[in-house]
Amino acid sequence: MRFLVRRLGFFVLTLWAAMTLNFLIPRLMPGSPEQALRDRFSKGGQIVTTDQLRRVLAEFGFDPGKNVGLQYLEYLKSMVTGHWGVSIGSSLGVPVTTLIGHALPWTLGLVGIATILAFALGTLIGMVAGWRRGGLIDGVVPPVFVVTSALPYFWVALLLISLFAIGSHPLLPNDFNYDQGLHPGFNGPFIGSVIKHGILPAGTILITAVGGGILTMRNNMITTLAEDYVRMARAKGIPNRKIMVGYAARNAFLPNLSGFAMSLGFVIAGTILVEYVFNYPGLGYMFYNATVSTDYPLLQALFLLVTLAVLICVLLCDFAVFLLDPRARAKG
Amino acid sequence: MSVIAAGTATETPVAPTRRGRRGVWRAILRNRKAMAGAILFVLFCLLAAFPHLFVPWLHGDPQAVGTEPLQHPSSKHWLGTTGLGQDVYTELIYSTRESLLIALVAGAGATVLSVLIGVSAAYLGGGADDLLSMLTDIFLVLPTFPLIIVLATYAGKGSLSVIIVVLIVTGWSYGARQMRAQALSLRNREFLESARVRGERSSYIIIHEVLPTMTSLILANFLGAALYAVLTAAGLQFLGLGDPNSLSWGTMLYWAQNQGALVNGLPAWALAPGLAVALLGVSFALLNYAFDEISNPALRPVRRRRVRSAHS
Amino acid sequence: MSGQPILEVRDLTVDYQTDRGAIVAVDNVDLDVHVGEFVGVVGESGCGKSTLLFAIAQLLTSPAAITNGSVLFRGQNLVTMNDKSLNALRWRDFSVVMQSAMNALNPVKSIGAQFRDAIAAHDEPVADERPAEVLRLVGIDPIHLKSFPHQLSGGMRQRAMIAMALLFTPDLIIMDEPTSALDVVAQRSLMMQVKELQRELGFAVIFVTHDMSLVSHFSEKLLVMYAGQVVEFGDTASIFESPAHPYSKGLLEAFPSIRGPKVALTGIPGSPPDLANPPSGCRFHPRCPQATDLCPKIEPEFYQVGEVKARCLLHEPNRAALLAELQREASS
Repeated sequence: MRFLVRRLGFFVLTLWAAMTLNFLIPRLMPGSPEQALRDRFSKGGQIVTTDQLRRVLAEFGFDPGKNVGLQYLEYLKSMVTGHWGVSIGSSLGVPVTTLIGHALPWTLGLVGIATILAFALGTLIGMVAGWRRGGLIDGVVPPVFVVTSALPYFWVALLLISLFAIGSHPLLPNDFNYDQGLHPGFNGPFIGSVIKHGILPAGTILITAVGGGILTMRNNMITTLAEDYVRMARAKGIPNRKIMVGYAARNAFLPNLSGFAMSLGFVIAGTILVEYVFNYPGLGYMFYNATVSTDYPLLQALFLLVTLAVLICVLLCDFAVFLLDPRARAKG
Repeated sequence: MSVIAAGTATETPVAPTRRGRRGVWRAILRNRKAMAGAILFVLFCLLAAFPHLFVPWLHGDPQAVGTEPLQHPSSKHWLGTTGLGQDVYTELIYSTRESLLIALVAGAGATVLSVLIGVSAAYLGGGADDLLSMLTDIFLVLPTFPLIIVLATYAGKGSLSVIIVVLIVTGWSYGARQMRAQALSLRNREFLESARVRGERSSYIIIHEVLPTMTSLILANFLGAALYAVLTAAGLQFLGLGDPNSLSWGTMLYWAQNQGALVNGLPAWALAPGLAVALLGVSFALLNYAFDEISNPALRPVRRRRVRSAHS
Repeated sequence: MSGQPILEVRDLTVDYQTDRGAIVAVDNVDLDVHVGEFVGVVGESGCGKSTLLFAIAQLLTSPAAITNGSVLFRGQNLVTMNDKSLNALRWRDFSVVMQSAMNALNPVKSIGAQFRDAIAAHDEPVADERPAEVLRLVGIDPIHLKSFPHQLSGGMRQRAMIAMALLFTPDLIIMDEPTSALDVVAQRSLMMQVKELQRELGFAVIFVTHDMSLVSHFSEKLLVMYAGQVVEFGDTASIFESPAHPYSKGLLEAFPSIRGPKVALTGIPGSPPDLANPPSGCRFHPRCPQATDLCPKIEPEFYQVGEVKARCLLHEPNRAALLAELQREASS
């Protein structure tokens, strides 16, 4: 119980820190959002009245007239209640929540599936690699995956594109999430197109992320296999496969779960880059566009959302460890 | 213990020992991964320090605009030319300097911060420890890449020092956790007890007894931080958030992407700088993994032996 | 304790592969164990007694391996047996109790689950209540089948291990210092329980320990090891009364007796040899109070000395002649 409370406390605290950062950064940086906005609009040939500007800025909590403390509180309130304002970027005036709603499922689908797959595959391969010592696999697997885990996401993306998606008859498409001519819906052609467009981006994430999982799992397996209870299991005549899974992997997996939670930062970076390269209209691409068009409300909301997502993942991993490890249950 | 704490705690080396200098060299030479990583790293250092050795025909600015834009690789331009007619190969070689600089400086800075915060947390204990640990955890969880993008955008795109500072500020948290874990475990070791009994002050103990024992962890940390810096900096520049006129691999990639190098059939321009980034990153990763193997012999590849003999 | 031995170990040799080459940890050891016998194995740390145990139980892991010899259990050679046949024998016919129960039990599985794993690994039909039954045998409430290892006390864990070893009522139980982690009182009660069970169920025991006093009370036969070799073997009473090997003598004299006259405590000076570079001739000669010039030159065989056998040149029948020859060589 205490464990739960502490974790939730950490959750809230981190979220608050993220929101505060979100609030502080535009105000601490050189230049003012107001001026930047004015510049942007004038460059785009639009004339915006001071009133309109004020209103837009107020939406994202920036009211130069008001006291900073008050602004902060109002900002916190609006963030927490989901009043995330409207976009001031390319989709001017569209509520931020709508925009996010459009992009979220694509990113969740692509990145979510690819990441979980990479983790699952990594754990399995790592388990087997750690179990079977000696021979070709032991010598080849670590170096190969050390290399793949150090490759930059965007480069792998570019590589895959150049291999599969270039030329007059490319094997796979290299941008967007589905054929823009098709109507979205639960029909064959649409779903097929979605899958086709998802292969290369998902493949990029898979290739780069799987290495980390393999290496940590392998190392953990090796350490676990030296434990007495594994020798004991052999002494009891338990078949090898059962020892590998039930005795070694079950124990080796726990720190792997922690490693997964820690690697989320890299996954997010990768998402932004991969979606950018493939013009895949998910949250990552949206984030990039928001940056380029200084769409502060959208930027803020996305930053908060991503922090939230990472925290949720960490919490989930915590709970998973709680479930899998009776010793953690005893301490909590 | 949360997954975050657990994840970094298990990374500590099995038995930190004070290894003689010669032992380290010999270990490196025998480990193939370490050799590969070391060779790559040395190569990049040479490229950064003496680029003119590899581009002997260059007179003047490596970024000089040329007359033949968007050329395929040829005997005149080994990797083709950019949209402004610049020689890709020349730019590639000369970019090594900035990319290596970012990696080493940001890596070192992040490592120094990690050690400072991690070891202080371990030794100060109590409220200070709680505070520092909380800070570390928060930074650990905050999505750093978006944060970097936001910071880089607001702070004005481009400046190299901004990138480096931002990398340091976002990259120290992982290492701090590890440092704290190991410093804590060392705190109670016997040789420290004897130092304390001898009357040495805490700060002296930390600097002269604890830190030397932690060198392998600090080194591993540095390599990891350098890797992080290389990849993240390249990613930032690729997105166009670096200085578009600078001479670095990420910026080259930005321009390549901008001019549609891939779709226009110029894969060399698009892939070569990325390959350079990849190789530099790989060299750090290989060295890191090799040091892992060196400090924990159980991880080394095993030679299969015949276990049974038929004597009776 | 007569008739055909159930365990016959002949010339068993174990090597450790290290960077410096092969180190012989167990050097041509012979051992016989009869039905229901209690054999103690004693020696200093590093003398190879635990390695011997694991070698007999076929539980060695790289870099250690059996390089010579045979282990005949009821006539079948365990060393050359394939995994499948070996696994069928394991636990059913011989089982193992390890030193630290905390390390020997899988931390993420309940005690009951680990019992069931052992049962499931064999075709032999076992009653459902068997786990509860064996727990009761060692004095643990069967409710603890649901407990996890970290929830039991040290003594309980150790007894649970012994219960587990009794699951199939094997003919032989090999114990590696099972009492070292316990306090003196718990030690004694555990040993008495083991002895009691042995009387009831009739299994044989090989018991490794460094505690001479413990082994003297409970074992019938004693095997003394030094530097990987057996230096004395025979029934416990005879060895205690008149030890034939100076090392055994030294071990006995290092343990004071509460009753009896006050005697000056003598230990054995020096420390165990480096197995990578053992002393020439008799391995004990550098520390032996009765060493002669012969000892560094000739490797003693295992001589019969009354009821026991000892590896010491003091009992070499040709001793006088060899000494004389040595003196002649020295003077010439």
